[in-house]
Amino acid sequence: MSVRDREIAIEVRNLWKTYVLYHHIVTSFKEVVLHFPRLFKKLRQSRFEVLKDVSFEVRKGEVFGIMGHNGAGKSTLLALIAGVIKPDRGTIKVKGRISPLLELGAGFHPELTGRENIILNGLLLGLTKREIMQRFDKIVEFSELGHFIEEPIRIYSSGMVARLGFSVAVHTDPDILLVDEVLAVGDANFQQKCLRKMEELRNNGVTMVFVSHSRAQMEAICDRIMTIDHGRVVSIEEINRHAEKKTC
Amino acid sequence: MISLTTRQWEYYRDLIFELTNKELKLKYKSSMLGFVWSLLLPFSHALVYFIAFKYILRIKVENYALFLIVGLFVWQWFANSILAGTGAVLSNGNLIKKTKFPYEFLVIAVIISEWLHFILAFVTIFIFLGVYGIPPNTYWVFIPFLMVVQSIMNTGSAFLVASVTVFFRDMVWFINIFLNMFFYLTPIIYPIEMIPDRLRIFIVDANPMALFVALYRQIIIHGTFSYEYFLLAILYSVVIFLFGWWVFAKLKWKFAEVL
Ligand SMILES: Nc1ncnc2c1ncn2[C@@H]1O[C@H](COP(=O)(O)OP(=O)(O)OP(=O)(O)O)[C@@H](O)[C@H]1O
Ligand SMILES: [Mg+2]
Repeated sequence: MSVRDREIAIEVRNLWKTYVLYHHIVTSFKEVVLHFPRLFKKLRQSRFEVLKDVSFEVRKGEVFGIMGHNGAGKSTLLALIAGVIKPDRGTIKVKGRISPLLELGAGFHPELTGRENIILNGLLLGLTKREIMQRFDKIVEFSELGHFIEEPIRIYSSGMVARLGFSVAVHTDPDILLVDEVLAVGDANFQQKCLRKMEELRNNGVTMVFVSHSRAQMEAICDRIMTIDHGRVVSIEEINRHAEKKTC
Repeated sequence: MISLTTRQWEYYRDLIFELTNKELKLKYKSSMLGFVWSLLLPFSHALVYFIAFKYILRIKVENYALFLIVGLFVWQWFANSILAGTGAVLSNGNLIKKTKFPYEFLVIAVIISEWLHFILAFVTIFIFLGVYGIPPNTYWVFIPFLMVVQSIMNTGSAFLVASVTVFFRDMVWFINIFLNMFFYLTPIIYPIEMIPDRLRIFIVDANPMALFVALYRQIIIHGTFSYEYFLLAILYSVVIFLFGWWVFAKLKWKFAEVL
């Protein structure tokens, strides 16, 4: 059965997202008091359109890549899919449980240890403590953090944080995995390991949305790649991975 | 009717337990005396007020030390819940931006952590009762109810400040000034009887904290209980809770964007 015939896991229709730059608006009390009439004008000026009429769908078990320049709106799109922020207009339908947004400086508390963060993260993802402890050893093993797991996250290197973030995300049995550039800070070994793991998850029917600036990495794993430019979808191209595999 | 499955029960229990645990850990990280500090603070206040009011201004209140301790602990519980509430959402930006979960639990964890502090502080009140030789009375059965009602007010206040502070950082300054003024305008270091009649309606009847402090004192020191005050306190607490909850629910969708 080809990917095209499978059910839809993520459906995004005519999505618009505007950020209101709150820090522009209420920088201080003084400003509110002194420039009150100007506030309304400012409110209009301080809007910023990040995503404009974005539509696409991702099938179950598909690896969907998103590329684009810095500030194109990729991370915003992932945050919308994760349900962390809300769109202004348009709809997002998601089927299944989503992993935490995996980006640099992932959702950890810097003062807590790796162990405490694994438990906290698992809980926020909807697992009970018992369910987390069943997976605990696997998470630590995959991350290769060793005794650092008992140290506070603030002393981790960025690669170590990324390792832990990725490891927690893939071991909590998500239906949908959102990966935003985390692999960039991992060393070659770990990148390989993550890509292998993603391949394994794909075979188990996990849907993935993958953001990266590395074209080669994207082509190696993605079924399709979408390019966005200043918040607009420019293209969605099919990657013929199976053909490539045959040639090598 | 909302019914929870066994797994959901287990989940919410774990979530609340771990978030509260984290709150306590962060509060006392690299502090040697830890919890003792949160007892020493109201005690140091009590000592200063005792000297200033008993020996210098010569206030005429029976058992003034006990009077102060009860009032200050009850106040401290409220003030600490609000102050901790300002950081409940703000200091968890990392988590909020990456995962969607019921953010309300961040505030509830803070409230439970402050509640545990109050319970432990309350134990020291019993030591004072022993010193003054005041025997227990039947009105003590109201103490748990009073705590529940005050928890409701504290929670509502914390919901309000936790969400508003995210958008308006000046709130932290405002809250400090507000708490300071509110403290001296509430009969905590002076008795209700000293307030002129025409001011009582503002300082006592319209002030839930005055009602709570008065109720705890009635029960513990005098062995009486004013049902009127109690009903009024319930009314205020429910209104504050609903308002705080409503504001939080209105604003929570924007947390991840602003943090
Ligand atoms: N919380 C926010 N409030 C206001 N503006 C924001 C917010 N988050 C992002 N933006 C703006 O939205 C635009 C898109 O940001 P986004 O993070 O989605 O880009 P990106 O495609 O992920 O870029 P990069 O490749 O650098 O990660 C940027 O111009 C950014 O300044
Ligand atoms: Mg990004």
